[in-house]
Parts: sequence; structure tokens; C-alpha cells
Amino acid sequence: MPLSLILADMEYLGVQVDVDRLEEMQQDLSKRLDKIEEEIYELAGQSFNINSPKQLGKILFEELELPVIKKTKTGYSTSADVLEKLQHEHEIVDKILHYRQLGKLQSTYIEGLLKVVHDDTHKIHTRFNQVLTQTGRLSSTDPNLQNIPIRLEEGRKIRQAFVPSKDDYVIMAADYSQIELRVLAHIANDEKLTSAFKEGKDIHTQTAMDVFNVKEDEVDSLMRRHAKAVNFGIVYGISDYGLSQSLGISRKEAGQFIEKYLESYPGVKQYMDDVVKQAKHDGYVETIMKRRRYLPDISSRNFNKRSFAERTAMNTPIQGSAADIIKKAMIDVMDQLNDSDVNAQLLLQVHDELIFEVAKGDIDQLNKLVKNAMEQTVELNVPLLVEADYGNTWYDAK
Amino acid sequence: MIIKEVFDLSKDEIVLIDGNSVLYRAFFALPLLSNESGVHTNAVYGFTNMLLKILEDKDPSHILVAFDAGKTTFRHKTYKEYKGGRQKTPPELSEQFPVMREILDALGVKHYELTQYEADDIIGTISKQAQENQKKTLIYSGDKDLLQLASEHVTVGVTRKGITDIDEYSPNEIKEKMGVTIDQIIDLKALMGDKSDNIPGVPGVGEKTAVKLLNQFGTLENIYDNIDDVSGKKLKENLINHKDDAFMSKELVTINRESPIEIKIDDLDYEGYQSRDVIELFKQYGFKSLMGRIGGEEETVEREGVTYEHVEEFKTDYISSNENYLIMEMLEENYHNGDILGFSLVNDQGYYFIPTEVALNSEKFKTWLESKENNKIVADTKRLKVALKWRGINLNGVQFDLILASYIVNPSNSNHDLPSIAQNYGLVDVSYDEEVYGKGAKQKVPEKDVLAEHIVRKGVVAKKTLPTINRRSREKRTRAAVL
Repeated sequence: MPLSLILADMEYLGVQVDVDRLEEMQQDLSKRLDKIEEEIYELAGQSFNINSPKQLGKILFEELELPVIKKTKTGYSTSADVLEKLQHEHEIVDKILHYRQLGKLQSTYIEGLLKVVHDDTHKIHTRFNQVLTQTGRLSSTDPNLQNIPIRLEEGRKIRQAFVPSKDDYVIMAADYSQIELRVLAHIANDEKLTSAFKEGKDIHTQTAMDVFNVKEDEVDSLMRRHAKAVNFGIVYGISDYGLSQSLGISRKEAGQFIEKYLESYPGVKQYMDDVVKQAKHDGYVETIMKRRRYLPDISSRNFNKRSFAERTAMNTPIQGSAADIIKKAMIDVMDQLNDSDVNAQLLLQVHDELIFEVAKGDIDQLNKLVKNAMEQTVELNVPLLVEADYGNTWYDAK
Repeated sequence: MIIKEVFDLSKDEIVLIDGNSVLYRAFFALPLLSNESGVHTNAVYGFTNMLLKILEDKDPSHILVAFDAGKTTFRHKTYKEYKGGRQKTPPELSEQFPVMREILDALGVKHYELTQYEADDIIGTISKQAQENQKKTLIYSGDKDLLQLASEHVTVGVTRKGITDIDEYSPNEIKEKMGVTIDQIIDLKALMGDKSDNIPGVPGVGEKTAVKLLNQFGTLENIYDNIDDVSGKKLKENLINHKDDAFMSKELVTINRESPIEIKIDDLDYEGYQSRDVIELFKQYGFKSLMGRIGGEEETVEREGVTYEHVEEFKTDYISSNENYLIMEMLEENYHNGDILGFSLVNDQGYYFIPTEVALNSEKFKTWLESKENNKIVADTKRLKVALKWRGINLNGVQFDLILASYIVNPSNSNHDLPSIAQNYGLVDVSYDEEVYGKGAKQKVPEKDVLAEHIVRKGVVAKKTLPTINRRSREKRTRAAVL
């Protein structure tokens, strides 16, 4: 309940948007889309509606005679996974993928954001939904902040449009580092995992060392990337198939990674078995603050339903506990902020971050206050780590 | 005729339920519930819930619930102390048996009991007939005493802690889980004894030893025929000294499959039920959540009438010193710029509809909204707070949020709005918004009285559901609720 009051204030306050910047991006993207369009038409030898899967399918599979991978009810499939497999066949495919990505950015994000900006204040007033997710995580609408793309550089740039509402203020973002992995280490009480965090090691490097049996200085970036993928996959109950897709390796290799991982972290394996057993017995799973999620499919005769329920049983306590922690942190931060004389406002909660705007003179104080409140909000077997940064826009606060 | 039988054979599925055993388990599995008249109903509720599931999932052609007839059975002649040492059945449970029979009658499910014989024997006898006719049979019980009846066509389902959770045993599973064949189960129990039924067995012989002996010798008789081959001095001694007990135990645990029952399989034909009768009974016993599972006629919604005051000037007298249920009605999802259609206030002083202009122009109303005294109960604090903030009012003093509580109780109830919550708790006092406003492009605000009543009704269900939601969200002992 206290959280809903905090969220109410955040929503009412809103976030300042640099509308000029956004419109600039819009025009810029528009130009780029036109250019790519031209290039595509040239390669295709004709102009067509790239956004029509029907027309696109004809061009790709009839005109250019690319191999057909999948068919749909009405024609050829031109979905992303199909196109990704055809990338090496023709350079047009890459351009089409790029075109689509930018097109989505343009319509959903840039134009979408421009639509919800308040006419007078030029602020965006998102709405946080506290009762939607099954894990306890917050979600947001109008706009949905969770899925503003950050992997694509053009997507990240959208964050440049989020600015402080007052002069002499900056944006500060405080992010929990690997909160879900830390929660996993705590709940599973795995020795190696817990030590790694306690000793302040880089967890992905550590995992790479354990899974590939190498020393720290032998871990290269590819290994670390693979280890990172396994780390995140484990939290979501990933299968060998899922991991193989995500890393572009064979299913067998992926299975071996997962096996090696579970061997290296027996506590994690034990946790996964225990939580599924407990879910079958009780019919639900819990987070550290005893938020419940019922899993009726856990005893389903249908293999798929049951598997999904098992993965959910493994993941919900982790994601849900992370959600609990972030929510409590928000309450603690606001309590302390209100007691202090720091000039700052909490603006947004996205993924594992809290985003503020703060007066330039109070940056250090806020930094200390927030880091402290967030890291101390609960006591786990491992330390919680918060990294905070600031800048003139959300993009720069990284 | 032959063709008809073949047809019937493939579709026939006979369900036999051990009424006493399941009712007993349901009683201890569920918290004590009673209806308005004070009749206890938890065991009946659990049983009925399970029964409905069986009817839905298995769609039996024949069904029977067998009950014990009384305390004395033919087994007591063999052994006076049979089932001795058992605690007396609590009256809260025994009063539910007649209720259960009433419900079975309404559901069209036959039930039967036979003096001197136990439910087990009735089931054993019918299932033997079924077996001889090669009809598929499902037996449900709360304990494992009926496992000896399993066979190629007969599966035994044993309920687990949560009554609707059922472990099904076919001959293979029994061999796997218990280590002996179906034919050996009787001998297994004879050797092990059974504490709850006060069957002696052979002292010093537990499940492990019994399984070992049976795997070695095959049958009880064979053990004694080759008693010298038994390893272990103490074991041999006990076996020899308690031979009479062992064989008597065997007699006691053997289900009588030739009981003089007066019913035949054909009598157990299941023909369904009259929805109205069932719904009447469900209403009587307060089984609101089961009503939705009864197919058939549409239940005409009977609602209590609601009289409310249409407020023209807000007075502080309207505010109760106890809980005040405050509803703000806004159709738009986006409450940053939605129109408020009206407010309602429900408390122990009455029901009030407060038109938007009256509310927002009333200093007294605004003062109350901003008062920090914790006596407002709302549905969706955030929505109310933000909407009021945009109108320059700073909401305080909210004691409880029904929407958040509903989410804590179960996050997967897909809708956490008041009409949906009301529906979940079996209340019919308020309609869904769609029914009042229409959907999509056709959506429009109805005339004043219809609108006012709808908003007041939301307050009414808020008041009615609060105690249950409050209790349920606390039951989970969850700290998540304080966030």
C-alpha cells in the first residue's frame, strides 16, 4: 500500500521529455528509413510495400528465388527467425531486418512517445500497474518503459529524450547489479555462488571459470558471454534448446554447458529440484516476502503445461523476490529522501533501476543515500550491489 | 444385441467411491466451514468439489458412493477389537453425512450401505462383478485399503492431502511403489498389521520385512509351509508365535467380494441431475463457488434491492467513524485525464451517491479526502489519488485497498476490479462494467439513476467482500502485502 502512494506521486510528477530531440530523431529515422527503402528497391529490382509480408514473400522467394524455410496459412513466412537464417543468402535480407527494426523504433517508440507527451507540460505521465504480472514485478503503460529497446544503439538513443524538469538538475540512475543472480545465490544458498558475490568477483567471469575449467586470466570475452547467457538462462529455467538458440551453438553443447553449470553449483541444482517438489506438494511457490504464485499446471498430465509450470516454479521465487526487494527499496529511499534536505525526485522504476532527477549540488548526497538505502533494504546471504550514475539525460546516466 | 454390448463395453466406465473414507479426509483437509444455519459443511464441500471434478473429467456411465452402515461389522465377530482404539467421530463430521446423502441424491448419484458390511466390501463386490464383465472401473478412496482391488480394468485412486489431488494406482504402479503384486497386498497387510484399524499382524514385522518375505516365499501360507527357511531367529520366533494373529489379520483385511448386496451394476446407471435442485442445495449450504460448475439453466440473478441517497450537498454526518467505503467511478483506463462519473460512499450509516460536481465543489468532502484519519477503504488507491491530485486534492487516510489485497491473495485472478472480485467471492450484487456501459465504440454513460446505482453497488460489494479478502490476504502471512 505505501508503494501505491509513492507510485501515485511519481506518475503525477511525470518525466520531462525533450520533444525537440524526439522530433529530430523522428525526422532522422524517417530519412534513414527512406534510404534503406531505396537500397532494398534497388536490390529487388522493383519497388514494393516492404511491410506487406505477402509482397515481401513474393520478392524474396519468387523473384529472388531464396530458399523457402517456412510457410504460413496465406503464403511464405517472413518472420525474423526465418530472415535470420537467410542472411547469408542475399544482402537484401539484412537490409530488410534493419528496416523493420528501425520501423518499429519509429512507430512504437518515437511516435508512440510523442503521442503520450502532455501538451502543456511536455511531460510523460506513465502508469505503473501493480496488479498485472504474476511475479510481482511492476509493469508500465502509456508508455511502456520496460521495452524501450536498449540493445540497438538507435534504441538507446531514445533515452536521450528523457531529461530533468528543472535547470541545474541532472538525471541519476541507480541500478541493482545482477539482482536476480544474487537472489538465486541467497535462496539456493550455493557455496560457490555465494562466495563469488561475497568476494566481489565478476560473476560471469567466475561462472566461465567454473564451467570451462579455466583460470581467471584465461577467460576470454566469448567465454564470458557464454557464461553470462547461461547465468541468465538458468534463472529462467532455460532448456538446452533455448540456450542453443540464444548462443547459436548446438543443442548438445548447450546441454553440456547447463550440466557443467549445475555440477559447479550443486546448491542451485538442489534448489531447482526442491522448489519443484515443493510446488507439487503445496500447489504454489513463494518469494522471500511470501508473495505467492499458484501453479495448478504443475501436476498436469500435459507435458508442455507441466514443464512450463516447473520452469515457472524455479523462476518466480527469483524474479518475485527481486521485485519485492526493489519495491521495498523504493519505500526506504523515499522515507530517507523525505527526511533529508536533498533536492531530488524519484521519477521511474524500470527493470532493476530507479531513476531520479536531482539538483546538481546534491548529486553526491543522493548517490550516497540511494546506494545505501537500496543495498541495505534487505539482508541476504550475499551483498546487494548498486551502481549509480548521472548525466544530463537518461541516456547519459549510464 | 452383441453389437450393443460391445458398444456399451467400450463406453462404460464405472466409478465407485468410498464415502466414509473420502468424507473423513475432506473433513480434516479443509478448515471448519458452516452455513448460515450453523450446519458444518467443510467435508461435504470437499467431497462435492472432488465429485464434480470426477463427473466432469471422467464422465462415468455408472457411479456409486458406498458408506459404512454402522459401527458393528462381521469382522467384529472374528476380532472384537477390530478398529478399536479409534477416536470417536467428531460430531461436526457426523452431522455432515446426511447432508452428503442429500447432495448425492440431488446430483443423481446413487449411494448404498449394507448392515454389518463396510463400504470396502460393497465396492469390492461391485468391482468384482464389473471385472467379470470386463468393464472399466475407477475406485476412489482416502486410504490404501482398497488397493487389493486393483486389476487390469480396475484402477484405484487414493486422495492426497488436498482432496482433489489423486494418486491413481494400476497393477504396475502398485508393483513399482509397493514392491509386491496385487495378489500379495492382502498378505502384506496381514503380516504388517494396521494400527489405524487395530489389526495385529505379526509384531516386529514392518513393511520392509513383509515385502522381503513375500518376495521370497510368495504367499503367507507359503511362508509358514517353509518356516524353517526364514532367516533371522527373532523374526522366525515372532512368526511362529503369532501365526494365529497373522491368519486372523489376513481374514480381517480381506475385502469381502461376495457381500449380499441388493444392488447391481445396472442400478448404478448415471443419468445426470436437475440443475435447479442442485443449485438450491448449494445455495442452502453456501457453496457459492461450486454453483458455476453446475451446467444447465441460466441462473437468474436475484439481487437485493439497494436504496441510496442522492446527495446534493455533502454533509459531515455522512461520514462514519468506522469504515467508509469510497468509490470513484472513471471509465477511462488512463486516470491522468479521465472523467470522473461520480462517487459513492457506503458505510454503517447508509449508502450515498455523490455526483461529481457536488463532490468536487464541497469543502467538507475535500477536507475529508485530505484528512489523515485512516478510515477510508478503496479499490485502487493509486487511481483515486492521481485523479484527485490532478484536481488539486491530496488524498490521505486510506486504510485498505481491495484491489491490491485481491492481487496478493492470488495474482492470477486475471481481473482485480470490483465486479470481478465480487464474482470470485460469489456475490451477485454488482454488474460488470461492460454490462452497464457497453463495450468499445458503443460505450456510453447510462442515465443518472442507472449510473448512480451501479456506483453505489460497487461500494456495497466492497463492504461485503472486505472481511473475506482481508482475512485471506492475512492468512498467507505474507510480508508482500505491506509493500
